[in-house]
Amino acid sequence: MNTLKISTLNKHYGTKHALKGFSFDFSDGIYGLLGPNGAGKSTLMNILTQNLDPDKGSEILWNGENVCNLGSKYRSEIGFMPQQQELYPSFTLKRFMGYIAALKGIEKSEIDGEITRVLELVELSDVANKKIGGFSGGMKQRALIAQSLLGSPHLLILDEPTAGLDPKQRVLTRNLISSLSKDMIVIISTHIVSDIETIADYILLLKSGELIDSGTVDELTAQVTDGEKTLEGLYMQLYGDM
Amino acid sequence: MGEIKRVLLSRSRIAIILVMLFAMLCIFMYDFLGGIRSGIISDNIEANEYIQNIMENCEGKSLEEIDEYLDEEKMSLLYSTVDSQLRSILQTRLYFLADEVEYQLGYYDYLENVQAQAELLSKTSIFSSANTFSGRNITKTADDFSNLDGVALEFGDSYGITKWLGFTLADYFFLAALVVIVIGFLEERKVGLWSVIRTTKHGRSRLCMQRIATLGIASVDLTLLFYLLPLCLSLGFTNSFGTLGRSLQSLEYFSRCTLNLTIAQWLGQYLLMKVLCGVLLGLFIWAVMSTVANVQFSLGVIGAVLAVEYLLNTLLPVQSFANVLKYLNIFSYVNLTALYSNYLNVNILGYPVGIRAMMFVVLPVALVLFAILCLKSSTRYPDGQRDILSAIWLKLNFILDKLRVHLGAFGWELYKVLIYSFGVVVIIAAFLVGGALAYDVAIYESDQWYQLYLSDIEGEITEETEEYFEIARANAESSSYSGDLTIALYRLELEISEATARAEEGGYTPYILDSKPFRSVYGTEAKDTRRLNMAVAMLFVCLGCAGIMVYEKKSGVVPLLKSLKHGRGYLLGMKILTCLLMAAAVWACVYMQELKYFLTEYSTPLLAPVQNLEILADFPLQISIGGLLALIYALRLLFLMGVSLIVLLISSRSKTMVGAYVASIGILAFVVATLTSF
Repeated sequence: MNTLKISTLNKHYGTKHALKGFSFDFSDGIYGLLGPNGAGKSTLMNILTQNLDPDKGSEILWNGENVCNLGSKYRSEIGFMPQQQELYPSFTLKRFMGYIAALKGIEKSEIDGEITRVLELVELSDVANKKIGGFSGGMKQRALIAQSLLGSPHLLILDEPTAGLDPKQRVLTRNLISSLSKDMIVIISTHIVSDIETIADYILLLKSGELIDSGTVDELTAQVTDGEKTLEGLYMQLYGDM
Repeated sequence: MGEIKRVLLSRSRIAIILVMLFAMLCIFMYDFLGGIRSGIISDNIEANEYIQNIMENCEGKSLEEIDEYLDEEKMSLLYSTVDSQLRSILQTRLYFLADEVEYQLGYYDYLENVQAQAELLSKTSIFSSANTFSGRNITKTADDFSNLDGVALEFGDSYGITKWLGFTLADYFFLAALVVIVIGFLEERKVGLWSVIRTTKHGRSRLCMQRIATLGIASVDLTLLFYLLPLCLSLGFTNSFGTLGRSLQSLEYFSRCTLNLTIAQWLGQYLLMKVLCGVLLGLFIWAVMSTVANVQFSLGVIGAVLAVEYLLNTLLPVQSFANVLKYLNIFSYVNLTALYSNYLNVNILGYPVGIRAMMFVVLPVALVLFAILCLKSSTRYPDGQRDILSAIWLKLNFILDKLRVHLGAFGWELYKVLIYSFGVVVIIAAFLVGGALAYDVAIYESDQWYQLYLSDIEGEITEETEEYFEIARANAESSSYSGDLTIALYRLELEISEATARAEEGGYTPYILDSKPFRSVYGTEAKDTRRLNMAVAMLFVCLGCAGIMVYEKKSGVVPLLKSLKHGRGYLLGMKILTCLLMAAAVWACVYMQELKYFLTEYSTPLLAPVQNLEILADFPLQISIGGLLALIYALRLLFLMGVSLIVLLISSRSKTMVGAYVASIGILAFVVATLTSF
């Protein structure tokens, strides 16, 4: 069982308080981060992937150890899928995967097998030797998911994993994420409420840098006071004025 | 008009062509002036005045009298007290004049000889049949050269135009500029607008015709820039515009040309032909690049086709049965001057056909043929074509990726720098440029006897040295030059006794050394040459290292990499290692060639203590010359490595490749300019 314990996480950008005392205990399962732009989702993801330093006094423990002390050992546990980007257009997909695998410190003898495994998962095996520059947005998105799965991480952080995918690929991706959550923590940030509703075991609602609520889909939808008792209804109730 | 403006007035294209032009003119002037150092232009101006004086003194003299006069000038220049660097330039120009006189003195004999040979060979049994290629060739050669009966050669300063004629690099810059123009025609394929343009009313044949017109205008512009401009520069610099009214054969370069024209008339014809050849080359490049839909592949295809054509043109022997491929070759139109300076008939169905005439007949046919091919390619369907190259490339990637995925983090960084930041190109260019650099300056010894003795006894001072002197002194006394020889020997003996005394005092082994080789490469006299070479090496380090940090930023994957186990300090370490390796590669390309040059050109004993060199008599370290060289080159390597790290730091602030290159080169140029101004 993996645990990620976050205590009083704060982050200031100058005078702007982007994260206000965020605390939460994660264990194996899928967690959805929901909130409008500026809610603090990206800041939280960047801090978790060590792309941002939190303010002093904040604490993040991975399986009981402070991630600042763990350093690269902690990063070897992470699979991170950032938002849509160009990747290396001149690289073939397999080459890009090889590059990421090398930087993840995967054993050379295992790299080939790992690449084949993750490309099959995201259904990109047939374009493995094609250049990424010629990929559609959806294919690049799946390539990003594939690289995050290299080396079987225990903490998977996915930023908008289904953005730009066609309906079939969205369903496949959701199923893929659901199947992964057996022995890992998966944290998904997305605007697509229906995705989170389908796959997340637990949902965290953020507003202006604060964790305003959390719970299972049923627990949260029960709080809807007006209209249909769905996650979308709750979203509108909480953020409709923003 | 729209297409012409789009292609020719594109700011990026103009910038690329201007950079190419600037680079070409720099190389041309470097070659023309005889290197680069402070005072080189004023020395060349002085050399021009010197040649002008000589030309004035030659007025009214016959060629034989000029020949004698120039011989006298050669001797007086040899013993003159002018600065050695200026003397080297004066000698180059004077010997060039003397060679031209010698050529002109023998030219009429050469013409007579051609006719006499024709007569002789026609009487020899194996060539006598008028119905064979050999027989016809003899008759045609004699006929062609009889066209020059009565041609009058005139003596004049031909240095400027000869330098221009010999500058064949202009042909390749011209070709590269045409490739840049043609790439503009394929832009819609690159940005995915091919189908859109093809469906517009004027998007096919009419657009193609506009592009052919664009090529015509581009060819005129490029001919003026890449040929006429350097010609005017060289003629203007040598003040020899007035010599263009002479017959073409007055230039040794055209000794085998059978056209009865003046130089000015020939230049007119040549520039006109160059424009037409430019259009043909453009059409050829366009037609070849259009065979593949993928623009990146098409660059590879044109590169491969040009390479094959070049190899056929340069490597096929003249006598080869396939020599038609040598001449009926696109490079015959690239190196157009060779068609005028060579006289050769090829065997076409038993008949001799002059290569120039053949190529000029083929030219309009080829123009029409390639124009049709380009028209065809403009009307082809963009989609649904079977792209064989893409299929081959995919297979190749499949095989290579199997190997590549096992590269470690360092292997990947090296791979990215060499392939995607054009590191391989930078290293090859550094090697080629390094080979073309001048590594020494000429330092002359006015006393030739002294120099001969010194070359004989250079080395450790031993008892054998004294024995050598005894024999030399005895020989000198019996020589008719005994005075000069004795002075040279006395000077040497004095130097040996001084060197011995210094060595005894310093506690090292005494050597008698010729310090000129060392000074000419490593001394203060070669300071400007070394500065230039260092600037070149630094430029290549900039080009090789500026892209190392930017590739990730440009692609936006920095946050992703930073979240990986080895995506931070370790990755940075690999990047630094790659950067240092690039610096070392550039160092090897530039400075190992310098060292090789010094070791092969000169025979300075490497084991001799450096204090034996007069200029290093007070050197604080007890070290051999070889040891000092190792130290010099190690320090240069460290310096270039330092430069590479600065470049890495500067470029890490940039988000684009171009920005990284410009910032790195700009800041280093500023540093170099500041340092060298003191």
